[in-house]
Amino acid sequence: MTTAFSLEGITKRFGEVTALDNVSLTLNEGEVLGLIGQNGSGKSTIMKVMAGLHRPDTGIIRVGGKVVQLRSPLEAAQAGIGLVHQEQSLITSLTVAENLFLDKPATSTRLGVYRWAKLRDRAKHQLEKVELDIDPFTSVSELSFGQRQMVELAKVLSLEELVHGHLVILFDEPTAVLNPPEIQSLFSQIRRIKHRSSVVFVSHRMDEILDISDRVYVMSDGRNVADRDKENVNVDELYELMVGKQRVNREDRKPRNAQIGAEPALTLKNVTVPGEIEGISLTLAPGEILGLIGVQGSGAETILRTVFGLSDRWSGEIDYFGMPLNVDSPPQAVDKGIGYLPAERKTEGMIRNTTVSENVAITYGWQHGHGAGLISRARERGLIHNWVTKLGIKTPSIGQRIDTLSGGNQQKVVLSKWLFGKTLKVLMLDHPTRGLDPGARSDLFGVIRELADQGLAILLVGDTLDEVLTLSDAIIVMKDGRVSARIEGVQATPPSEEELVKAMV
Amino acid sequence: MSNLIKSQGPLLALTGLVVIFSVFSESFASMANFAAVLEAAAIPAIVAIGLTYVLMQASIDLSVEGVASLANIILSITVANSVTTTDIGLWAIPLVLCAGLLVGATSAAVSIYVRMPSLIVTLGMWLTTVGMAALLFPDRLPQLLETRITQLAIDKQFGLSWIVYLTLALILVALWVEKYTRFGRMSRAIGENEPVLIMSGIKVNRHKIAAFALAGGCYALAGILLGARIGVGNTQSGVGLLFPAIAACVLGGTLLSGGQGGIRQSMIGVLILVSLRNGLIQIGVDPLLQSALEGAVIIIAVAGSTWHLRRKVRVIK
Amino acid sequence: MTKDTILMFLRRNGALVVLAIILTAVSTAAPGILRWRAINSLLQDNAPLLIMIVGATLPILLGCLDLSIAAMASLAAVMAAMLSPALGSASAYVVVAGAAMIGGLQGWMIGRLQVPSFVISLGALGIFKGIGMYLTAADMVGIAPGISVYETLGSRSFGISNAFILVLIVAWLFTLMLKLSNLGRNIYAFGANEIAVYISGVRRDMVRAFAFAASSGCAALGGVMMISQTMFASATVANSLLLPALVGVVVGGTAISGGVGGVLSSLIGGLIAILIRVGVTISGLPPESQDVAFGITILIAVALTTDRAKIGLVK
Repeated sequence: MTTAFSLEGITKRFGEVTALDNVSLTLNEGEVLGLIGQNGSGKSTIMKVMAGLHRPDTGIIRVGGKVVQLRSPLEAAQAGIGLVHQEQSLITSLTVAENLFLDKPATSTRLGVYRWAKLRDRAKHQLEKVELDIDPFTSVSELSFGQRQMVELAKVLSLEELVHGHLVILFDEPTAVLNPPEIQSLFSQIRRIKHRSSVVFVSHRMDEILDISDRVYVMSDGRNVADRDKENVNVDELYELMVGKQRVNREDRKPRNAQIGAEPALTLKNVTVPGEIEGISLTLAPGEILGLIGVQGSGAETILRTVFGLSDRWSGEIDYFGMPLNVDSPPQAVDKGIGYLPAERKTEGMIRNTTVSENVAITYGWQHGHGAGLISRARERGLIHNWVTKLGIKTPSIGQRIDTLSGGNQQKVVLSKWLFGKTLKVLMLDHPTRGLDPGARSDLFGVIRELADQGLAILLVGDTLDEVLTLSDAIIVMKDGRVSARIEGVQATPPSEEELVKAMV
Repeated sequence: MSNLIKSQGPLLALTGLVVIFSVFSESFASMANFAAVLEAAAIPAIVAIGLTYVLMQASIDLSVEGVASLANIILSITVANSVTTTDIGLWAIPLVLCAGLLVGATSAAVSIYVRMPSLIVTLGMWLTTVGMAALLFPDRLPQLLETRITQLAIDKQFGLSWIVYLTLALILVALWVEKYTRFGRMSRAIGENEPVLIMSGIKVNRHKIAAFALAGGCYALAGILLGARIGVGNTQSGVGLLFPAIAACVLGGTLLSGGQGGIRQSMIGVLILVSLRNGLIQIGVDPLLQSALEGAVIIIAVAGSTWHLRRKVRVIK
Repeated sequence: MTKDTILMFLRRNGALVVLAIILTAVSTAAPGILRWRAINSLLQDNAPLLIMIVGATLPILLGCLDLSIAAMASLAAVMAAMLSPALGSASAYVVVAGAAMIGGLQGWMIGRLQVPSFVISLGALGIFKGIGMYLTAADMVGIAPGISVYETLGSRSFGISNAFILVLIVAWLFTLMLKLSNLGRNIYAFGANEIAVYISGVRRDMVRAFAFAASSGCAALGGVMMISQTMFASATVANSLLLPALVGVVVGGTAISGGVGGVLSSLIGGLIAILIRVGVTISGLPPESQDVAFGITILIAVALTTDRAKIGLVK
């Protein structure tokens, strides 16, 4: 077998975080490589390196034996590498034909004027390759998701005519938006194109990976932890490898002696957000930490956002201390005593270009004021200093602009905004440790436990297994918008990591 | 059915208006009045053509009134006129159009390379061109003595002036540009998803500069035709063009958020607006209320056409 | 000094530097301008513009734009004149309060309808203008003589124009509000990051409604000041003030992208705008050419104060 493409010793860092750590990968001609791993394992970073969207810090990329530099998607395309996006790369107001040749040299225009007839012929030819029987002049907005995926594929396959040699086709979670028949038809296309191209297929669903791949490549913590031919795959072993560093060191763990209230603080009954979550029911009591976990798109975040009044359309019932919670916007949720730490710290969490103290005091500052809407910066200052010390926020002063702090300290500032008031009863944390270094993470773990000990009800969407296993009293595993497993008494009898991974993928 | 209303809503609205006004006013549905509607629609249509490409790209251009006034003044002092001695004949037309193109291209270049929102850049350009028109204005109101220009408004074929025929021709060209040129096709795509186009190697900035330049050219043409119609050079001649143009584009379905609509839609919008004005006067509404009506129509049209885009987590500035 | 620190310095103190330069230039050209009487009458004449600048600062602090202020000032002048025979002094209060309510409605609608502020306020501009034209039949309306509010506004205390004193009082109140109240904190934070502020539990629709109420109310006050000086109003009396008002705000250093600036900086910007007008007049250029100066000043001021990190794609 000849090697079509290879990565050798690729390392990629984003600030303090190492996303890819000395990763190597070879792809043979005519093979489907299935790439699997948890969130943050580095699988999408590696795809972006291959597609020319990220440049690696160190390492070599070879195409057909030759060393190449992939500085942009266009350069990757010239090397015969194409990425099939989930859906975002098509322009819906243009026709299928135009989309097919959008990123190719313009051969169907003369002096900027379209030659539609020629474009149609060329597009027809490309669509035949993927057996898509539609008029090339259909607007993409009229296509189903499955058809769009095929157009994406045809767009990549049309590189054939431009590039000498083999194609490398990357599929980035292509099944996420498809229904089962569409998935099957995608798979048959992939099998059909194998003879003239190599395929890398990323998915977070184990069954799909096993179905389509010739070889399985497992990522964990930015490293390759397994590379197995399909015949030699041991599924349980793969689950075990995917857990990686997230294995909790059981000796170190201090089980929490949770004082969980008898009356639930929050009860969800049959909550549905169309297209995101379906029929979610759960209860959360004061003093309890309930951990939600699932792969990207599983809907765990949507539960938090719905309770906080951020979902545009939803149905079902939410009770709050025995009364219906009628909340339609964040201000109303805050009035009731609910707080939310968003996952998108930069856009939704911190107020950029303002100081640490304004960020802390934005929500509850008025509670420490003179009344009548007047605030007391002097009184606030003392309290902010308290929280800065308590949470170990490293900042030169509380008048520092929040943008200049490190990610971990920014997150602690955003968290302290909720602790600043006197009325918080339920705190929802959406990926609170995302992008933080290990030290900042364990600091934050300590704070969260302490808050629960003080009687706060905490709903947590975790980034990693060890996060939810370390913190939670109960765990709910989400898959495809539904609850796929529910585990009580986590602190007393912790479930195995493999058990959780199986429920997730 | 609901799909039909969504895609052809503006056309249905136009038909509805025409039917209603024909019922309530005897004079509305007369040939003479239809001609009057077309005459009134011509210059707003030219402005709307220019604006449409800019809006499709999700930018905005507020400089219409200034550029049209400036064009009008440049025209009236360079052709035969009652005040200045300069007379370059019909060469004044390419001169004025080039001035318009230049103003538009400058706005786009400043917006792109200094990284400022087009709203602000063109607001500044609006003021600057209004002021330039005032600076160029000679001591007295210059009468246009170039009959080849004034005849455009006076000379009628089949009851319609050359201005209307010129506008129709321009609409056809604009439709062709929209459908057959890379610029036309990419304009809407830029408004829909600029990052993907940049990643695909499309030279987005060129298309943006072209759109603003073309828009500037259209405003200048509007200034020339205004000169033909009123027969004098006036620093206020462009006043009142901005409102109806934006309202018309949005009414027709060329949204301010970009990526949607087109020349056809904007032209329907122009007809809706002009029929509305005309019809309301026919049935006896005070013409002084006109700008109030247009203001309300802008708000309702923008709100109605973007109602389905409402999200809680959305920045509205 | 690096480029960044120079830019930072210009952003912080640029307005004062520009004011000093222009003042020097203008007073060299026309030394008479520095006499107290000249300054006083300049401040009196321009009090309407200054009060509009004070009000217009608030929406811009949010990153919004209120284009309806000049039309509101004209309409307010018309309404005050028309109501003055019946209501006397109360006509002024009624008009300002009513304008504030209408402005608040505008601000509230921006959030509820999710229509950009410049569209709502552009539409409002048309509505106000149309109503004004209709009410006056495109003619002048005079104010009833001998009404105390208007006479007070048109006269002086301790040799200083009462209208200008009122501008200072309103500016001072707004400054206190912005510094000391929860609302003021929310306004700055809203301008810095609307979504984060919303998720922090701030009632963003109310914040926006207040800012637009303030700008409309101030505009109406400006209209009332205008008729107290001229005794006549028309539906277009204040129309030429929109752009100088926006120039004043952005030249003062309040960033159009929101979150940075203040009422006092805007007042300095307003003084610059006034001096540009004076400069154009004494240089013998036609008065309309001040628009060129304004247009270019607005472009330079925005170029210097916009936070480009906040606008991802320039549109």
